[in-house]
Amino acid sequence: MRTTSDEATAPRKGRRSRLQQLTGRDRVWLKFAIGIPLALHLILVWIPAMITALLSFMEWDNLKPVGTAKFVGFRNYWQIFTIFDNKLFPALFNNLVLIVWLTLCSAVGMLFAYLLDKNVKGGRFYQSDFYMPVVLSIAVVGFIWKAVMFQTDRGLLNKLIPGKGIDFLGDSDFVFSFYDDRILGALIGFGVFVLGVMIGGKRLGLRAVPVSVVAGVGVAALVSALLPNFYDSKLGLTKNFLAILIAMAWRHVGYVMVLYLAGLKGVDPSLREAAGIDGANEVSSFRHVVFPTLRPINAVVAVITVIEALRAYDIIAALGTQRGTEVMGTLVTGSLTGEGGGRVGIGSAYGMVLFILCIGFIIYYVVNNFREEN
Amino acid sequence: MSSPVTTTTSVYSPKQKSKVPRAVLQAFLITMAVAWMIPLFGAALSAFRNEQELRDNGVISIPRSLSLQNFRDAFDQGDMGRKFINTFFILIPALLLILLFSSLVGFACTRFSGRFNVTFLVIFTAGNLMPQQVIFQPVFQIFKRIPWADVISDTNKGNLLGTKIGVILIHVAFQTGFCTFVISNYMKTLPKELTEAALVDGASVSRQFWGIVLPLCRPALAALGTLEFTWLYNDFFWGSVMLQDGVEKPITSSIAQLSGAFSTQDSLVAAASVIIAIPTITVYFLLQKHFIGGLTLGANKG
Repeated sequence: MRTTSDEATAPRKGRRSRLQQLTGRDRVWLKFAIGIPLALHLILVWIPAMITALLSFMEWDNLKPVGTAKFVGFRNYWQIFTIFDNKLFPALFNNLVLIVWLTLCSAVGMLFAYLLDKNVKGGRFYQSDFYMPVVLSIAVVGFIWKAVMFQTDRGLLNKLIPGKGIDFLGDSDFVFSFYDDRILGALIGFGVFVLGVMIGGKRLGLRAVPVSVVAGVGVAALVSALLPNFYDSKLGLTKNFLAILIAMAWRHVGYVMVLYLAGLKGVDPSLREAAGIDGANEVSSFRHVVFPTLRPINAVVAVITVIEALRAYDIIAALGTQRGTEVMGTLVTGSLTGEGGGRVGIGSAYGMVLFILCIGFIIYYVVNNFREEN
Repeated sequence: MSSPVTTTTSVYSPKQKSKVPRAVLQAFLITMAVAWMIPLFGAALSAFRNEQELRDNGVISIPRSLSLQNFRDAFDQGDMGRKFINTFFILIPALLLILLFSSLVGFACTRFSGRFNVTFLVIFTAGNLMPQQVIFQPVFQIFKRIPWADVISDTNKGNLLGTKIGVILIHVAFQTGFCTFVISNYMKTLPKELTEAALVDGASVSRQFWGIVLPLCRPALAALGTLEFTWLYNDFFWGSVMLQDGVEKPITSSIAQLSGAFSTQDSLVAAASVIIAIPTITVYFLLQKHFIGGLTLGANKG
């Protein structure tokens, strides 16, 4: 009884006194309750990440004993960032394309959710229909697109599109391409854009987007004008990567749609009604009433979208890694296993680049979620 | 067709004269829905058809014969019976352990105050977003060095690498991160008085967990269980990277097996795809509500 009243008036004090009431056995139980899962998680997730960081400074063929590994300093990084294979920047560019593309897909997912939330007839059917690809295994999705849709002679898409069969997955010609300095500029410009949206979004709301676009494009132009040519290889969007984008969109839209559907259920209907009575039109009621209440979902979707784009691997591997479709995920895996395998140092260095790109967004997400608790 | 739709909506939402007419909306949705269905429809149709006929005429043609023969062949040639057993051998213990571990951590971190509680939750949440490629080589090496007499499954290599137990462990380690995040958010919404009263009655911490908190978390556990079922069942990366031995591989690998072994018979692989998809689609339709709830439990914070 005493504890409960304590709790009500001064929760922190009450909590502390509660902990003191625990018996020794209870304490041990709690330690194990956290300890075992935490140990497993640390040993198989965080410690491997640290080992990867370490390995990225070593040279080692993973078929030979660990004793043969030797420390090479930043040589692996030097190799991947400069002349070695010229693979890093094309992969990074594809990841960048994925971020932009999946963001667009997220917007489409939001649109679908918004439309389905209007009590449309057959809403349940549409919802299941759009969501179905998310339930399927990547292996299945890979087969469906590779064999049923994209195949050159008998794929469905080639049957639907008149003319000579298109080799969707084999054609690594560029749709458009640039030289690297422009890409670097674009990458940095995009970074500025993302930062602009994140920081400016709080104060300016949706207006931060055009401002950030202008800032991003400006910085990109400046950087690409100033940077000399480091590479002579071209970078760009290949035709077969375009095909992969379609397959990825098929899955991503449904996933995001369901996230937003649940979020929209939380929007107070009387708010929207009030906006309707005040004569707000569709667009402005969405912008000023619906969108702000979706903020927590927006943060989740933004992080999911970016992380999915950065760590994309499965669907590209399932469609068969071809020239022109490489992303960071396939570069890491390719250096460690398979034909080009055995270059642990290089693979780990690729892995660390991927990790560093992801960790910023991971921190943003975590801080966003746990801020109020601190 | 369009007029009854408009009248019903005017009853349900009299307040706003939507700028987009319902008929246009429906037409748009139907178009998109059909477009979304084409790949699935194509695959399902191929599964019932004769390979030669498919090769000659393509998927869009009037089928001369439909049969279940592809399904029988795919099941036998893809060794799908054994692979189903493999998948569930990994899935069931992994699923139970994930739910148990995440509820334990969630319980300990949200119902009791400790100095590092938020830190623990942050570690789990951030760990789940880690790209798998970053950690898989070291995990490989760690498993190689852990001696393990694998008597439970078929092949014994003397260490954890290439065993189903290893795959279970990595799934548990990885997915506990996400589930802990979701379930701790759910537990925060449970009233404190519940465990408080039990404490006054002298119930031990473990009684509070098993007897009070865990039963109350049933909706969250059901949601997470449904989600994790799909994710673990569909796992493509760990199953194919860790399990090199053909007899150990999970169900998702049968597509690669059927594609690689012979000159690929698409109708056969299509049938295998349909077989593989059946469990998750069934679970989705049976537990649709939980499924969608599970995706947003974490986001909504209860």
